[in-house]
Amino acid sequence: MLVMMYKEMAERTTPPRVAHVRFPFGRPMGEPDNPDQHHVIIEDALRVLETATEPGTIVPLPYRWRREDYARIRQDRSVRSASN
Amino acid sequence: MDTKELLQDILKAPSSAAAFSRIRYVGALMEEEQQVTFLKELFKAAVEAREAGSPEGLYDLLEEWEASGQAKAGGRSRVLRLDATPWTPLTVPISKAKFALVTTGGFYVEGQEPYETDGPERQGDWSYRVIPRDTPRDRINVAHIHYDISGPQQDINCVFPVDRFAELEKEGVIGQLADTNYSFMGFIQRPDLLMSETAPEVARRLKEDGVDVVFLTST
Repeated sequence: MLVMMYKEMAERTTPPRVAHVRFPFGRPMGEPDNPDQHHVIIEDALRVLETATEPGTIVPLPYRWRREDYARIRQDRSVRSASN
Repeated sequence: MDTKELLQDILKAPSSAAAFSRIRYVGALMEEEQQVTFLKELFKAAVEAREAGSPEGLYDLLEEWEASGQAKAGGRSRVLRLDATPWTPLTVPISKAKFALVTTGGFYVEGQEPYETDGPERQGDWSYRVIPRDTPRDRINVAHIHYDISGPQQDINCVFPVDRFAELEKEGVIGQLADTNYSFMGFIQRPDLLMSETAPEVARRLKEDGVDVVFLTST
């Protein structure tokens, strides 16, 4: 399971499973000291790992650099999973 | 100063700072006409952002240009083409799986040899370093001159999420995080040697360690 910024490189090298993040190079998990952000990215990547059925799967993650509230995203997710 | 020099002067950006890591392709790779278009749109978006009382449109514009700059860079870079992508199905639930981290971030433990970040013939370095999960964070150094390392110097988890995976292990989300994890340094101009020598070696070690899932982070 690979998390990378460089979508074009993923398309050309076709690793088995890729979560593509639109973050600056050198920040695959996001900003330093933002554990909520890291957890959201990892969680999404693990979902790709669980659901991908064929090699060369590239899933774009929707997050915009420094424009998301990751604590809130995690909170919403835990509420959703508790109500399921 | 002619137009080309003027544009270069305006658009030059430090290659080391994270925020400039992709937008600098506009200055480095685009035609003059596109660079002029970018600057016009940037000016317009800045004024409109103030008028709207929100920077969203300005940020959207930067992200669009970053994406097209990156696409241009991606089209030019040399990559090793593979015949086929290997596929190993996930056969254990994530909550039972043993994970290991592998990164291209350029980490090494104090006492280990740092990487050849450029090399006498700009070959880079295809060797790897073993990073035990319990290594005190202040003993993990980073050597890489092709991305902004200030992020992982502040918090290694933005590249190598070792503390995050330890937390997931504690919460029972994953089975376990391996004791032994690995780093490469991503500037590798001899991918043939990576593929014939060091990558198979790391793969063999991961297999011997009983690792089910390798979580790779590229920089």
